[in-house]
Amino acid sequence: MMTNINMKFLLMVVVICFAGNIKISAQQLTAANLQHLPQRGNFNPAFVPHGTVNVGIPFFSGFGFNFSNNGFRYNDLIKRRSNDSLYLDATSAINQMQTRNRILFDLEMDWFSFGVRAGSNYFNLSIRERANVNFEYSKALIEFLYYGNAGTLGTLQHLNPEIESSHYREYALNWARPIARNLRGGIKLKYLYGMENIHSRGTGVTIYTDPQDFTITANSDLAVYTSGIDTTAFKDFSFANYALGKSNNGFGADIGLIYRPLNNLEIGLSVLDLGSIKWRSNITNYSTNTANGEFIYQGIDIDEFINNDSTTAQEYLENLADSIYTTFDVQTSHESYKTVLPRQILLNASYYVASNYKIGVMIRNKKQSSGSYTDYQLSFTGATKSWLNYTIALNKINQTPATMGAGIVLNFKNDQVYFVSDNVPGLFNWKNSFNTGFRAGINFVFGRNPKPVTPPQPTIPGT
Amino acid sequence: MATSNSVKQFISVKRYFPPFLKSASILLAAIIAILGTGCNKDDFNASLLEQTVWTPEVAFPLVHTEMGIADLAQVNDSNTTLIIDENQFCTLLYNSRAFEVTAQQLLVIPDQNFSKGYGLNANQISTLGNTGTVSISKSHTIDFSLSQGAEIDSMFFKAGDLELSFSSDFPLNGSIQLIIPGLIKNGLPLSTTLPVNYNGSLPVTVATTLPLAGYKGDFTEGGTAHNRLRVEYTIVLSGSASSITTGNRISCNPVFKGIQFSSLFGYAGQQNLTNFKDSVEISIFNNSIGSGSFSIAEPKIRFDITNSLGLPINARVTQLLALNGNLTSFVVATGVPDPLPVNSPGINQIGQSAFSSIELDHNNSNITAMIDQQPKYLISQTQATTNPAGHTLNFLLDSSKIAVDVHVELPFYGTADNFKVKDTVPFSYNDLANVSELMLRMDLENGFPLESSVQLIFTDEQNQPLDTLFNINEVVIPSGTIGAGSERVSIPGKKTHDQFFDVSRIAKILNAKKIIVVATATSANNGNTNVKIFADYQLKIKIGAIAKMKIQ
Repeated sequence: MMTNINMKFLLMVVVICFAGNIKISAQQLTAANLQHLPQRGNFNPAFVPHGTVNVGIPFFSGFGFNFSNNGFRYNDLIKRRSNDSLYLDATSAINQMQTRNRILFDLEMDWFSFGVRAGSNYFNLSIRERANVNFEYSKALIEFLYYGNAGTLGTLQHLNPEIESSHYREYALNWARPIARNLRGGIKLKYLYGMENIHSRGTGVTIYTDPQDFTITANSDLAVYTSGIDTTAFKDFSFANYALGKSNNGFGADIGLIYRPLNNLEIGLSVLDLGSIKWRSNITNYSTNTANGEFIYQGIDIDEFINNDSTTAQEYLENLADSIYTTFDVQTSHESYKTVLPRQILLNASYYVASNYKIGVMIRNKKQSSGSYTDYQLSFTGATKSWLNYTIALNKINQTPATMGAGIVLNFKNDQVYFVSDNVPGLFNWKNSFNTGFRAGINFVFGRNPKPVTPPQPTIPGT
Repeated sequence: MATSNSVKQFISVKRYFPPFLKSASILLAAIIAILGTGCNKDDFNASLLEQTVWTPEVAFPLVHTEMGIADLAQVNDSNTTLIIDENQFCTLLYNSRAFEVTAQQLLVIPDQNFSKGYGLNANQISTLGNTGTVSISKSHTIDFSLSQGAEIDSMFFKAGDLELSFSSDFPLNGSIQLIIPGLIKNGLPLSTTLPVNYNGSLPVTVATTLPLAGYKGDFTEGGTAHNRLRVEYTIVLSGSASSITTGNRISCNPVFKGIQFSSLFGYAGQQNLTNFKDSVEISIFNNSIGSGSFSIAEPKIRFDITNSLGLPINARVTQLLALNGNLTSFVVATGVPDPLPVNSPGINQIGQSAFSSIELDHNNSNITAMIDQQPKYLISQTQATTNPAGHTLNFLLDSSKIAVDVHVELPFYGTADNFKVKDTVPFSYNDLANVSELMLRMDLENGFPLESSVQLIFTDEQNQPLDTLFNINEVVIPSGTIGAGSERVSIPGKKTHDQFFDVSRIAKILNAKKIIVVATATSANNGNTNVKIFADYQLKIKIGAIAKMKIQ
């Protein structure tokens, strides 16, 4: 029997998801080239869309996803036999892996977006839900788990998985305006409301198996911080408290510049996601550290086990477990902590080979707590009058092989349809791709006064 | 102006829903086309996925140990000691008490019962009739009855009671006073007075118990006797003498019960203490099957005699022999002195112990040959006689005793040649169900100057062999190398053994119920040169495995 509270909760979810101002999307780097697309401002707050008023349409303005695993592809792991049965080929997947591998998953959901030009200024107010997962794993970890340790005797194995994942909401005010001749600047100030976080710190776990006697020596330096993950987060769950009542908050900013030193050259520089979140609600942190001495396991000590009449087998195993627990110094705490947003720096240059055609190059550097990585892009972008904007890009993302991306914006009278993907072949053949994802949606753009797109009119003979 | 137009357009957004729906339709169709092209429902059909077999190879340590001579020689009970000298040289010492007699066992004072009856003569009856009361005093001696001709001159009572009971057939009231002048405590003789109350029925009985602890007893009757005490009674009777005759009696019954002494002077008698047998378990040979040779160059057997009994004792070892495990073969020791020298404390050494000792070694006995037989037990029988020369003054304390301790000293200096031991241990293992192949690695480092071949035989319940681990006569544990001009091992022997088990061999192991361990030891130069064992020698064993798992 559904209670009144559950009914209210369900109703709230339905209202938010379908009647609210929602769009689900994920950044596609290729979208940064589409000058007709208001979402381009997510890459550089100095960008001003060419409409006078821009409104994000609930849910339809952007949906899609972005998934990248630079370790292996679907077809590396799951293969098909001639009789159409599937089998797991872990060896093939492992052979594809690099020393360090990264899985990225991004989702963004706009609750509200409203932008308006006022003279030379442009203001945009938005509320955006953001979730991102960055999980890094070593080839050694997967080999250790799949092949066992026999193949790596005598070598130090770094089993250091790292995770950095957050779900938060940003309330942002974007202001862009010219600040000098040929130079436009923009800044987006953000209040951040955190809901879930999990991230790890430390150098991880190392394991060494002696090639002679198989003695295992292990060290650990790993801490996992969580907020909103443990069971206390779901005790007496209240959606209102979940959506608005948590004590995790922070501030952030995006800043950007667009400079046109020449009429046909545009250079953009932006720094995104500067800021941090202080996590205070439903905190559970786990840590292990062998700073006081590594853990060495040589097998059962016969003397202790056999010659000690007072020690039973169960006590021996309990002592061993206690020893492991003590050596690894496993601690659980509930102290608040702060995480820094994964900062991005984008540098792009576009050269207009004609008034409606440009070629561009872009570099994006993203800094995670585990390190930074850089994406690269070469692009060609064109526009046909004001109803079509398209781009073709060669993207090298997440240290995977280059992929062909493309995007298209179709402008109608006051609305536009767009579709963009950093890996177009990967949409059709995602099983052979390291990256896949797209972003599509519909925007309202007012004050653009485009020529309406009308189909060719039939000619009546004799008229 | 453009902004205000845009706002107007925005406010009238309803007008644009039809074109918006057209845009949405285009977008939806594009996405469906893309997703429809890229996705195949079979890609997510779990029923098409074959069962995955996971075959990791896991290397892990199983057991490790570092065994010193204390572990190998099974020094694990209170009677066995490993003596380590300043040079770390080891001697195994087996201790056993072959003989012990305490003073309380030697001179037992049984309960002593005495009885004496007293009546009135005619004069005393007349006095009673004339005066209404009469008092009579009586005295008599009691002699303690002791076995083996023992004599007590004096004794301090540690425990015991004097139970007094009187029975009177005089229809009179009165009292009975008892005094034993020979029992003194705090300067006063033992004394008590009991009332006799006639209440119309006869006999009139009176009883009491007097604790004797703390009393000193003089049993010599003024230096003229032994075991003797004088008891004095004073009986007072009151009442009518009309029915009193000379036949009326008062019966006095003193009983000494549970007497223990804290010290005693006298004579313990001439007692033969025989049939005390003892065995010393030589645990180092517990698992020996009597094969090969094992020789200790300088073994010793020492008899330590501790005596605090104040009397002369003659002691003899009537039997000393070494027995094998089946108790079928024995070697009789020679060279044991007869009698054993036993010292006793003198009168001025009361409370002290006198020590004496004899030692059998390879110079004065055949003990080396006895140990060469790898005996599992050493049997000794000792006989002792008190006061062998006759009457003399003895003294005993409650803590006094005579004890003969046997110590078998086996200095670890000798040879072994194919010395074989065998043991059977229960075995059960069933955690190999997911293992398709197994490699056992035994990593050995031997600091002892002994090499060993080992055979592990896996058997079923009926001891039928299922599998073996090593080759016959293979040197599994190589000897450490003794440094030139040194008695010590300078380079440990090292060897690694890899044993591979396929599925069929694993099945045999899983069916095994016992492991028979047969090991031989041979010292340097094929057992022809004496070697020494030092406490810091160790046999290090590490056993690990690489298991190829098969997990579905």
